[in-house]
Amino acid sequence: MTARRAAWLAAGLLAGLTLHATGARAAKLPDWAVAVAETAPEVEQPGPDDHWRILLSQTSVAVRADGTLSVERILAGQALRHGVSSFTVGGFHFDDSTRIRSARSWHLPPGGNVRRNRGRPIDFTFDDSFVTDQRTRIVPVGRTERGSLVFIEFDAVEDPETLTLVHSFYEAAPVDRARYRIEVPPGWQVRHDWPRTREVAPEVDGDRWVWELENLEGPSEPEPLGEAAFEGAPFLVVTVVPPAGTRPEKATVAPDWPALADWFSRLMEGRDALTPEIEAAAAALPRFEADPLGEIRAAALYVRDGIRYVAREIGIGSWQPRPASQVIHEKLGDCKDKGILLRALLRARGLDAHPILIDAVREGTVSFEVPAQHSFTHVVVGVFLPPEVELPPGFEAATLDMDGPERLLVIDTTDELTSIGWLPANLAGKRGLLVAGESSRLIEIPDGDAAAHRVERDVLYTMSAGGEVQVQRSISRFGEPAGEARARWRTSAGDYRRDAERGLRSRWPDAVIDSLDVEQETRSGAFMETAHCRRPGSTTDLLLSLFPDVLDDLDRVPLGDREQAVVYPHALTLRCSTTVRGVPDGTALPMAHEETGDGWRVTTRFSREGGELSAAFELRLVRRRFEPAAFEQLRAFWNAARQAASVAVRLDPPDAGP
Amino acid sequence: VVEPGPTSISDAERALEPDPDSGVEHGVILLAETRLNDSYGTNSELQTHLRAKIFSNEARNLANVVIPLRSSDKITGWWGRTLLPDGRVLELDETRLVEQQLARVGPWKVRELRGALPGVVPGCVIDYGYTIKSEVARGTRRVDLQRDWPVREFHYHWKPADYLTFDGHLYAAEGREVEIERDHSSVRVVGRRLPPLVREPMMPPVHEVRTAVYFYYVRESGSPKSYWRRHARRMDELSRTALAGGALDRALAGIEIAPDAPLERNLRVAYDWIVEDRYATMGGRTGPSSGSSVVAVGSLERPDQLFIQVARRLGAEAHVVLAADRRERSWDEGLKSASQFDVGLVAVRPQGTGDEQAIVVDPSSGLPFGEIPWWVGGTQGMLAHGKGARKIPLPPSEATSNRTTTIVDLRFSADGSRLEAEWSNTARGQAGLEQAVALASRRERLREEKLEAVCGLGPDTDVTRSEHRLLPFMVSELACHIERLLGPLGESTGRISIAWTGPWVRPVPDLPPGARVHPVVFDFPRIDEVRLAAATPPGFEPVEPPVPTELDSPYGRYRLAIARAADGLKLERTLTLLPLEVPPEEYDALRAFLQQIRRADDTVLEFVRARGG
Repeated sequence: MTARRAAWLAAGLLAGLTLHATGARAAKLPDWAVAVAETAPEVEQPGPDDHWRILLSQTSVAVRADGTLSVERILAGQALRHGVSSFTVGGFHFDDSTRIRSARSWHLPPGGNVRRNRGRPIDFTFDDSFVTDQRTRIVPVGRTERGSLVFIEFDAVEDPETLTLVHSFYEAAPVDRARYRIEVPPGWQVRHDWPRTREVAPEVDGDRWVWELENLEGPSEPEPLGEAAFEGAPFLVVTVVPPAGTRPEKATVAPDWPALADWFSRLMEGRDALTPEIEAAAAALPRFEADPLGEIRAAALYVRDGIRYVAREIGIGSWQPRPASQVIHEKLGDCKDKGILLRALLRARGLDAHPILIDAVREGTVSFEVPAQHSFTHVVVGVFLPPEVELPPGFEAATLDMDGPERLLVIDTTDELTSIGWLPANLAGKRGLLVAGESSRLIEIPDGDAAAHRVERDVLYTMSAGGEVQVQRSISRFGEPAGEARARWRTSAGDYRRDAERGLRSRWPDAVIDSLDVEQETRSGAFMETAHCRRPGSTTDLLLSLFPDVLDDLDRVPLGDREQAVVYPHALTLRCSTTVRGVPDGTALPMAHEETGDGWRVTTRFSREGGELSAAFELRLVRRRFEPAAFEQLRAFWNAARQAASVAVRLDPPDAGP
Repeated sequence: VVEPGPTSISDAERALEPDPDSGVEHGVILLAETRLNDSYGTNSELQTHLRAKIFSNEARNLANVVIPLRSSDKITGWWGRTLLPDGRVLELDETRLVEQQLARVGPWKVRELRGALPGVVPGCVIDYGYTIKSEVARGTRRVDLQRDWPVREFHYHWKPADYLTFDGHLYAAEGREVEIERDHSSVRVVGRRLPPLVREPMMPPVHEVRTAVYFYYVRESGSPKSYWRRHARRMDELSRTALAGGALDRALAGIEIAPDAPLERNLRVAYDWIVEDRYATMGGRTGPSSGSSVVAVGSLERPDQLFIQVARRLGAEAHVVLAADRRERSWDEGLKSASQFDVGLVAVRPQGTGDEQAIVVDPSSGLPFGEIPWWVGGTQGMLAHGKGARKIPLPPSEATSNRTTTIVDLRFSADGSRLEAEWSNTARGQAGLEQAVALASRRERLREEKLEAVCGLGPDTDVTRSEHRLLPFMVSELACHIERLLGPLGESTGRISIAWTGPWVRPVPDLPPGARVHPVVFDFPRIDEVRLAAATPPGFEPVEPPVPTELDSPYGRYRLAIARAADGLKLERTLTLLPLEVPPEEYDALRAFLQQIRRADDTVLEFVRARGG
């Protein structure tokens, strides 16, 4: 599995292709298409970015008694402009477990005759795994006109691993009507849930279940601090359960979460064996006597940094971990491979760790009630913490309280940017499936409070008699801000340094930078940058910013005509603690200030003792989502932050008279 | 012969260490060698070998081997191994290479063989190579010698098809340890100690500075000179082709030609007529939308062709000039490929005079007579005439032709919580073209978004009015009204300092200190004038402004003057930037000049609470 399957949804990338259908000739439409064509609406004036309107999108799944699936996907689209590419709609996603029996398309131009495409279908791979069998088949329909109707039909047979299904009601264009149908053998049960949106009741006719939705939104232009349109699309999960005593030959039945966990347990059975190679690697890890957390950290760092991430997602290899001994020998693997290795290493050190299936990209894919294999795209590791372990501050976000005194520390071994003990924002608040034998269960990862993602600045200004100002600034970043800084540092330490120096010069144009040092992962998980610089004496008065650049870590966007909600990827705390030494008598002390709103608070405090002035700034943002109706609140927050951050003291030049 | 490297790490390899300051940070390519043999009839054999040392985790992806294959390609040889620092060797067997299909239409496939070399850790050396048999490809092949990683040794040997004329040409190789040898049947390139490509702000295009070699077949044998002669003749013939729809007659009827007037006057009138006619035809949308306007090989934009024919009727010598977009590359005469050119221009001069008398114009750009788009200014073009090709310098336009005049009116709202700015500019010449290109888009929504962004839309700034219009001859007019949130002024506020810069001032380049490798490249010489009036906030009075700042350097001039006005402060700022390209040895001087401007631009406008206010 890989977190990168969102690429499936990138069919829009094909917009530029202009391959033409070949061999078209007068033809007959299938009955379903005739019905759509007869009721097709007039083409309305399209919006500036609208190319297609989907009149009907329907997926029909017939579950066979042996557990295989017969899948039919049909789609009717209406071109809203002349010459739009049919490549952007109507793809069929498949892998090596799927046999496509037919892929057909028809084009009905306005006032013209039906043309059946007899050209060859095109398969594309969008997934960015190193190797993958995930593909998308597209059937071109030729050049369209405004008002053209296109009809696309796929028929396939799939061999699923489990009899669980998911369906996202999302197309690359607005949809008038979307249907999902399941037909099961007599006596079989169908259970379903909508983990992301409100319940839509199915129409049940004997063994056939049909869910129908209307007027679904299409993709929207992505905006900074926005969310992808597919994240809000209705998401249906289904599990199919045969009568007691019936066991399909080709797929595993998973009526509940423990059963799905059991399926995964069987896949990893024996793959965490303590081979001599594993024992040797575990023995070679640094020893931390009576410090289980040190042991966990050492093993996790070894797996995170020492095993290169290479996703190889083919067949059952998309789900089944490679043996830990192979992973350690090759020093490469994907999430499940790295996870099984960490489990084995910790087991060799007497610690208990288990895989957790989770979705690293999408929100709201996991139902409490209805298990589904494809609710997940990723594997992280849960390590049971011995009771005596005392967690450092900040680790709460990555820790779950389990039964009684048990606690589970969540570690993503593929995330080379997040420090062990901290949780990346993409996992916060997600549901996952802990695969731990009898203890297997659905768990909920903490949502991460404002302290889990924070930036702390310490600034010391020292004024010399000649008017020179010495500046000592340290920035400690935790959580996601640390990961972002680490990513830039690792890409190029030189570029990072140059950017940081440019920032200092931009703040103090005449500054002489004496040093700039980075510790990219402190034991507490911080990314720490320390700079020393000097600003030469000046003959004019000096406006000294007390909280320099403190808002650099607060993303803001134009709100003007924005129609999408502003969504922060995580809560955030920004702190700045400033000391000014050598402040002349008579320098005015700024007024302390506090402003709060729904989900945010900004405070400043100032004090003075002799020639030393102290200033403190804190911004806490716990609210992550601001709908357009709340933009005034968001402006108020930004404005409060900006005003608080802009406080400065004016210092006279050294030779200025009283 | 390309063959596997040693199966142990040599002492020299072991001694290699990262050196981030010289660009050797994550890894180094020890040897990159390729042998391409196209002389097997219609078949070809490619042998390649790469050996690299890994310094950090960030370079481990060098060990993710990707071998591109076409449908008919076959891999006939492979080795891949990791040499660990402890002396062990881990092999990746050929059977473990996986075919990754990227696209497929029936039997036609785009695919890659992929394999991950095992056991890669910092300090190891990877060594892999393969042989592919395929059909001969006849296109031009550019092979980059210089990469993002340092390359210690590079070999490429190309044996072309026996029956075709071929050539090999080094590009951007000055100062590099690179040699090219040609004989009657092959081309061999050897490079050593190639540094990684350095990326710097305002550098020439990467394609231009990256050391590379071109291998290609040519239809006709002969020297580059004869190649360009033939191409020039073709372009000249094209320029004489009759225009459809009686365009020439229509133009000649419409243009007010004064028989007794000097030739240049009539040429200008003819030029203006063609530009204005095009402007009217296109409803005000004229000029190149984003850059290059012409494909040089076999086509010529209609306004250019029309102007050539009109000019000839007026008695002038008029010829096609082909030019390369300097944002991409410059014209390399030694490379016999007309695809280097991006833009078609016209050179006109009185009959019997030399090229130095020629005026180069570009009617299809919409610029005034005598101006050509900045992305070809300052380069050498190829003048195509009936007898052959000549190099012709394409001078950049003068700063005085590229003037932007900006008027800004700053005003506080009554409660001091908002700062309103009414601002407009008029940009002419290249500055107008630049603004027009920046605001152009086929999509209306995107156009609006770009316009609002230029006007200054931001988290604290609303745009309440934004208008743009493009007049003939690339005069671009912009008008904006914006409001910026400040927060209410408290009773205790005794002093207000506001930065006068905003979206109406082009950012002055911020160049980092330190050694510079590449020249600093500017778009075009320009003059930017700002006249700003800031009204005094209610209850305040202006602070005595600082003395004017005047800076003068070989790179331009700067003047900033702030003065009291009846209702506040007025500011005038003029910045003239002259250079097109500044060599690395002048980098510090240029940087100092720009730094002084930035510092002066940091001057704030200040107001203090009025006595009794």
